[in-house]
Amino acid sequence: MREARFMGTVTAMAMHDMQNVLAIVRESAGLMGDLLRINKDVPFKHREALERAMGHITHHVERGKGILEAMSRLAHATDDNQSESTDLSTCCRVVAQLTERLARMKKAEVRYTGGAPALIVEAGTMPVMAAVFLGLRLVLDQPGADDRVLELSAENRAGRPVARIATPDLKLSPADLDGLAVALAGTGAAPQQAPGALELLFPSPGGKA
Amino acid sequence: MSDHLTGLRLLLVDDEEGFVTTLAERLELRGLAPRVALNGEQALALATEEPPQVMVLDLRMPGMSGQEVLRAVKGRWPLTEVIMLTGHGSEQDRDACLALGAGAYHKKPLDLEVLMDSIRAAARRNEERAGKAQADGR
Repeated sequence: MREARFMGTVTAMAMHDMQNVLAIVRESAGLMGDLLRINKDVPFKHREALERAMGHITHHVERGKGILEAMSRLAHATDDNQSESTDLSTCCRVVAQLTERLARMKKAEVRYTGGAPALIVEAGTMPVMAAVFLGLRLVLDQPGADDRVLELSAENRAGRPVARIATPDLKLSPADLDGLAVALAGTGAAPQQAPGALELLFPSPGGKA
Repeated sequence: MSDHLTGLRLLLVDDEEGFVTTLAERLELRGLAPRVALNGEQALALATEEPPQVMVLDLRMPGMSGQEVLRAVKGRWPLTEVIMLTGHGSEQDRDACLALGAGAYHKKPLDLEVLMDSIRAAARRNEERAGKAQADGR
């Protein structure tokens, strides 16, 4: 745990610094945009290319901001106040953001489609995120059409928090589910196959386990 | 680009010089004339010379932290409106800053128009509170 906290602390500090880096990039691009607008009547051969490049910078700064926020959540997962319970919706949103690259390598897209507000799970942030990640990875490893979309959501099902990973025609073998159940040991999550979806059932505080 | 914020006494406080000077230039293009401080001590020195109506304040800085600066500013110049702008956005930090009297809390990087809206709102609050203080004979 000490090593995990160390990693969380230094990662959080680095993420915060990266937000400052993005802020400088964004403001500098913004200043260039301001100057182009002010001088819009002055002929400039490369105006269009420069405006396009600034659009890319702004777009990717926003993308980077999203990744950093997710990384920051992950880094704070080892904080003391997150070891006993956590919000499943937030965990799903963060894991969806952080698996963007993995999904692209698998020619797929993970889309977080929403979650019930304050869906509290009786398990720590780190194990819950790990469970959602393991579930996503299993589904991503299944054969499927290029450009398929995995819809990740967090649901409150009669008091039981459930992370749902849905994609058309998903069929997991019993061996896949057994392997995932073993991998999920200690996270509090129990996997089950639903039509076109993998579901991870989590324990609710003082409720169903 | 100028609007009714012209003449607003605005102080930007951030130890990231590249960020704060570029932000100041962009605000100048919009008719504002912000002063810049690169740490908390410098911010308090500038505020002593001329108290700002609105302060945009970073949270983590070498020396005095943003929260310490916020506490000092609210103690000495209660009418000054403080907008926190930080790359360090934990919810605890946000709650603590709002409890200390910050009027807004934003995370970097931030769309400049969002910050402009926040500055406008802070300027309005400052004006209202200054008017009320004057009416109360303070």
